[in-house]
Amino acid sequence: MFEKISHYYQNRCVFNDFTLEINEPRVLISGPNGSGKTTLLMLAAGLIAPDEGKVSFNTQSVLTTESKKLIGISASKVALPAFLTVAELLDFHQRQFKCELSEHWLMQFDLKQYWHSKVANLSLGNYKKLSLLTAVMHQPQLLLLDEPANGLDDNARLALNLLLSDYSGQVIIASHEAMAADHLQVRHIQLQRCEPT
Amino acid sequence: MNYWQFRLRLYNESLKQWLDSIKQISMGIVALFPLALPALIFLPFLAWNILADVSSENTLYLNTLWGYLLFLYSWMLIQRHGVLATQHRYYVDSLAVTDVKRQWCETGLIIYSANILLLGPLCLLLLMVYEGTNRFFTFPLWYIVEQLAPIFGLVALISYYSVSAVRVPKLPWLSLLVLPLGAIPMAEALAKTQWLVLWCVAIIIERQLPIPSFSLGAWAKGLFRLQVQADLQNPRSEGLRFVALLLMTIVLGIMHDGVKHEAQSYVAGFLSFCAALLMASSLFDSQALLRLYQPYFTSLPVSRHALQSHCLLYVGIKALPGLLLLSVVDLFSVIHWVLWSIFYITSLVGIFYRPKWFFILPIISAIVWFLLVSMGS
Repeated sequence: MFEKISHYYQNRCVFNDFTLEINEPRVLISGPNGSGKTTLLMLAAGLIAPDEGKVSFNTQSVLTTESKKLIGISASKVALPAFLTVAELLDFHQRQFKCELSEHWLMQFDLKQYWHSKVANLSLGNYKKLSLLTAVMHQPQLLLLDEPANGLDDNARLALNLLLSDYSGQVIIASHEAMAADHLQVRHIQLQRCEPT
Repeated sequence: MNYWQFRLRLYNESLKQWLDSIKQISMGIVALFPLALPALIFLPFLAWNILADVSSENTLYLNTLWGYLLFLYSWMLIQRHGVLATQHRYYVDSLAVTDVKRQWCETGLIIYSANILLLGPLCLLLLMVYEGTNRFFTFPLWYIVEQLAPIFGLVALISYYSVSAVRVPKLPWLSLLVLPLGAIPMAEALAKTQWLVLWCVAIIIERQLPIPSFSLGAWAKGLFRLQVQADLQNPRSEGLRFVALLLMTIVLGIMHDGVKHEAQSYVAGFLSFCAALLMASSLFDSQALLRLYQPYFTSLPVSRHALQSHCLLYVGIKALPGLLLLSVVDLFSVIHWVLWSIFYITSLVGIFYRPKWFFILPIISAIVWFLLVSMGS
């Protein structure tokens, strides 16, 4: 739930008195470059605080530590520690969220072979898969994905679609592509650039 | 722009980036020691005087040689990426330049970057050789060789370390750490020439030994592992911090032994101040790591307070090798350890709350201590 959100990057307005309630299980956010798709996801995940207004999930502010357990995000702006190996990062991540790594998704995303590779050395596609895995690992109630299919090959896209269609929580995707479109209740939100006042 | 000018430009850019990155801490040093800075410039001249003099005391000679080589090696290590243009490696490698030309350019850059530290002793050696040729007919050959051996050894060693810091990935742990630590307590057991030969032997041995591989295994978990891995990925920062502490301890150790008994406490107090600031500055790296991956850390169900507490604890653990070094050199009395603790804690508080002015709190503590001591005496 976004309540009267205003957010600026230096002097550029991204959101101005923006209110939005999302109850649908699947949401696709689209819009031109610079319309604030990624910023909306970052706000929803509580990774950035709005200049004005409040963002909440299940009536709880997303800025609290407790709410982080309910939210998972995969976005290029959420850079993963590049100096760790894949194994170390996943181990670290599951310790923080006190969850277990699903071998199934590890196999589906074909990441096992990069187990001892440094995150910095992964290709764009494999980095994206790892980012997706860290986002879903703790089975969050709210899953936020920024351009999730970017850099993925056909097999990985198939695995991603499978993951999304079976996912029990709410999924919000910012993408140019028609992701999760086969789900029954997909709400489409079109963002516009904030006009200077 | 020719190839040499291009490489020089890349080197200058890299150096500029590095200088920008240490602006914060260097601002503190400049603010703290405005009068000491010109004196620092003369330190190499003092060092050459000791190192070229065949009659200088062995302990002083070895201490000075160790300090000089450590400084030179660290200085070259800092500039390694600039000299090799690693940031633009793929582009540089894609240029149609012969290996010979590239090697010559890099050698030129090594000399340029080592600068006075390399060229000073080289000029001194040439001067002494020139003087030696005049004495060739009046003094026996062994005498001339004995006179020239220390400066010749120095030039050979600094040439080696200048090149190896840039081109050899192995760290000189045997010749620049183990050997000097073992040699200084028994400096008088061998002559200078013999120590120089032993130094060269240590270099040859360490070149033959394989690079020791280090694995964390499973002992560190969670945030500690993450921080340890971040340091292992970029060990330069912590390594240079330790080398700086080592250098400071060597220089102030020499000074401590050279001054009157009444002044020794002030030298130790000064060391406690500098060491505390340097060791606490490790918190800058931890804070930078948190900033770099801020979105990721924020996405974790760990409060900011818990993250910062981990950072402080980790920085405290990293101070232990430095504390061990300070206790081994044995310059501190109880009051100096107390002072170190005060300076360390105030520096951490400063870095935590006012990073740009982190040195203000330890300075105030130092001034209060100085006033109390002055009033007491």
